[in-house]
Amino acid sequence: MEKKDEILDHGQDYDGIKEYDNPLPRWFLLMFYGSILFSFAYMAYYTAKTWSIADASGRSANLAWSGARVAAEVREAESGHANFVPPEGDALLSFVRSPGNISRGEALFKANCVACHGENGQGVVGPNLTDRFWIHGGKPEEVLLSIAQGWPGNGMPAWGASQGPEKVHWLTAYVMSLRGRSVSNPKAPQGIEE
Amino acid sequence: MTTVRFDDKIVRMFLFATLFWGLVGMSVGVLLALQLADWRFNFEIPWLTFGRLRPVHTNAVIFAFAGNAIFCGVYYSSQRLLKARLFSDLVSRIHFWGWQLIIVLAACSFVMGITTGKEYAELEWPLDLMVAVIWLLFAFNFFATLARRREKHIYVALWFYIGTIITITVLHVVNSLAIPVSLTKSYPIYAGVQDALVQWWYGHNAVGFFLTTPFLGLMYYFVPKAAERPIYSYRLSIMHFWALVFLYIWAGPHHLHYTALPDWAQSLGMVFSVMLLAPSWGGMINGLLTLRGAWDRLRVDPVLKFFAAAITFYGMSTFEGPLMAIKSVNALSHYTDWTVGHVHNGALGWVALLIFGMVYWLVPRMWNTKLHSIALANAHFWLAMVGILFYIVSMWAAGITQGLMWKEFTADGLLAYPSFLETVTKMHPYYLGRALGGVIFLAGLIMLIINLALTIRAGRFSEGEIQVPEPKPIEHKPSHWHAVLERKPFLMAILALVVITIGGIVEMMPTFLIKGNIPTIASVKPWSPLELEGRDIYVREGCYACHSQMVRPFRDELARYGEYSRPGEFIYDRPFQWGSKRTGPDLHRVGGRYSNLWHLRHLEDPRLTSPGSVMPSYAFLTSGVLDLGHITRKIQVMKDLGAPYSEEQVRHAGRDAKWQARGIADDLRRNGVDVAPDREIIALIAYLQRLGTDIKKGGPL
Repeated sequence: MEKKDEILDHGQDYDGIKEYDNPLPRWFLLMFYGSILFSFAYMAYYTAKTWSIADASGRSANLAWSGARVAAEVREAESGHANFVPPEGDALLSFVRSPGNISRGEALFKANCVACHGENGQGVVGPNLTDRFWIHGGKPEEVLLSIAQGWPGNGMPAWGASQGPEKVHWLTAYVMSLRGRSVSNPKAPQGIEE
Repeated sequence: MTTVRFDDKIVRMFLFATLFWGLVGMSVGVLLALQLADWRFNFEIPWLTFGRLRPVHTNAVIFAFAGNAIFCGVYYSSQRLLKARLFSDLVSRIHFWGWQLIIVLAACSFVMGITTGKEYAELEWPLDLMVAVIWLLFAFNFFATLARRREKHIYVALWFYIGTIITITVLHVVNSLAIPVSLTKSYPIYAGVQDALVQWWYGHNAVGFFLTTPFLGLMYYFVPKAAERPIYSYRLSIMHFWALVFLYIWAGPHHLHYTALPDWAQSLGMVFSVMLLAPSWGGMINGLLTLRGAWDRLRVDPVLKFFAAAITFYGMSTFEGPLMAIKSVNALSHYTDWTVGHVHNGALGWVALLIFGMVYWLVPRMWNTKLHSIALANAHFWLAMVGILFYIVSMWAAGITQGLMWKEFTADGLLAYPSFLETVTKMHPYYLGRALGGVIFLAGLIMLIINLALTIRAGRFSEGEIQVPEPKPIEHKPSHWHAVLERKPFLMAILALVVITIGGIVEMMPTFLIKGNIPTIASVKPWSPLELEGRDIYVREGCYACHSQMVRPFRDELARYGEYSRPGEFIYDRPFQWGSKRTGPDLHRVGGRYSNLWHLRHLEDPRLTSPGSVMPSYAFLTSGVLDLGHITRKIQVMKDLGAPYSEEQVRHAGRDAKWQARGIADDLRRNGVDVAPDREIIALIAYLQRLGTDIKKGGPL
């Protein structure tokens, strides 16, 4: 057992400051050596994993692990929606009237559309969606097409590529539900009354 | 025997500067906190917008408040530990006035929008040069004093000062390398991923070697002096000193988890942060256990109160840091207010409290009197505690709440909080709590200043003196292997340099030398002249203070923003603008998402398109005329740095910019708004519309 609280002396005078030479606490050393062991193990595990993913996919090792991880995450989350068959005609009409689809569309609308069309679809930079006037047609098929393919000349992006067919249909359901809603400070009508 | 009289006048000057800049820096901090609680505190004045003011706050508290405190404490303690007056009174005074001049010029340049856009290294190149000169003068003064020392062994506090001086020099020089475009603008020699890696190697170690090692050195001097107790363990000080300086350097990439930085570098950043916990706690143990036998005095002595609390906060911060550096924790915490809370845990809890303790101890001794009011100092202590508590708890709550909101999905697989804005307005009460905490902490500082002013008025200043035997003290044989090194401080400095260089080289070199680390993408092209000007405005306004440009590979970020960011997308970005905090949404995929008109409306009045937004109004960009005076030189510098512009493109840069601007102005006019094409806002819109779009022009990734 080492002596505790013994003043160290190598002939120095540090403005009167003295030093003990107490041993390092055991828990402290265990923590330090433990963190070093963990680090080696972690690096070995993830380096091997990254290389094996990179080899299998033919991609660069750089973000192979991150990329594979997020791809798996998205695949799993969307597995239930892979078999979406776009409804047409009457099926489309009942699709856009379904309260479930409307509320799903609302979430997407809040994420992507409110910036231009306003929180309640009253119109800001983009047109008012609550009135009876439509620039590019107000039937479900027409609204669907506007959302999916956009009107790039007027600043309306094409959402089909980034959102996929199912979400574009949900959005259509919500937009169709907006018509006739009373909103505060609606934008002046644009387009043709339908 | 001869008498050595210490230069305490310079200590006094740095002490006053510490208090003055502390007051300035923290006041600006309170204003920023109010701006986030209510956008109207931006006052619609360009100079006072959050983006321009944030570097004033960060630089003022780091380099002015903490910096002057370091110089104050280092000069006071070194002279006494070495039994020698500072080498040169003249160099000391050039050091002092040079540093103050830099601070003033820095503050002016930041509010004018002159900035490099790299956090904690925002100074433009002329000021960077001044910093280098003044810092080297400080180093010269310090080492020349070491050479004249009358105490053969150098004490542990001085090891930490040596480590600080060496490392800060290396960090500052390497991170500031840039090609000037004009007196007020430069482009870094690094781009994208490399720039990010170099910057956060710098940024993390600014914390490590400007806010940690010098203050550990000060702790090793002032805590045993104030407590009148021996340091707990000499061998612990050896172990944690060398482990700290070696390990710290590697930890920078933990600021870049899940970004486009190569996976291996992220992993290194994480494990070295984890390994850093024990050496950091070594400092805490040595500080707290030095107070053994003095705990009873804590009740009556405010100095010891501040020291004990500071060391405890150091222990908390250095536990929280490695925790947040673990990738799965960072996935939640990064870009949120948790990071802001963590920083202030260290800055208010560790750095500021240690400084307060130090000046409460110094002033009565330097002015040969007693502290004016112990009760007032105790009151200050409790105010500081309450202020920090409000601050940190608000930020923890804000950060974790917002981080979870961003990531939550509904049963249908949709974002539960699809509107980013909704997660911002939820932060309002926490931002009020934080502002309150800041005000309380600042009030405490004002109490300190009043208390010390009254102490000084009652006392009489005199310089310290000691009697030393001449010509030289008796030599002692070193009793320990490390004691040999303690007799050779210059060898120690070189060793420290070697130790800190290893981590930097191992992490940086592969990204410079191995192509596969940053795979290029054929469709990614350099910025057009107008977009480059717009980008420079984005940097000037400090947009990166609130917006990231880095979509991380998480499901929620893919759903919210789009394709995750690839390293090859940033190769023309000088400086990189990945950001570190999302007060607003990520902007890397904003290009093409909104119309030009939307951007115009939103920049002029953010609350028109986004009710509840806390963003300042940028209507002044519509009246500001774009200065195309340097565009040819800018494109030329970018070409010299490797961007594939043709000679033709360099020559016609101005013409091309005007042509592109006209296109945007025409589009705005078609949509019913007249904006002259020569306005700054047009360039900014051009840049925003291009952001993150090139990748979509190529084939599958």
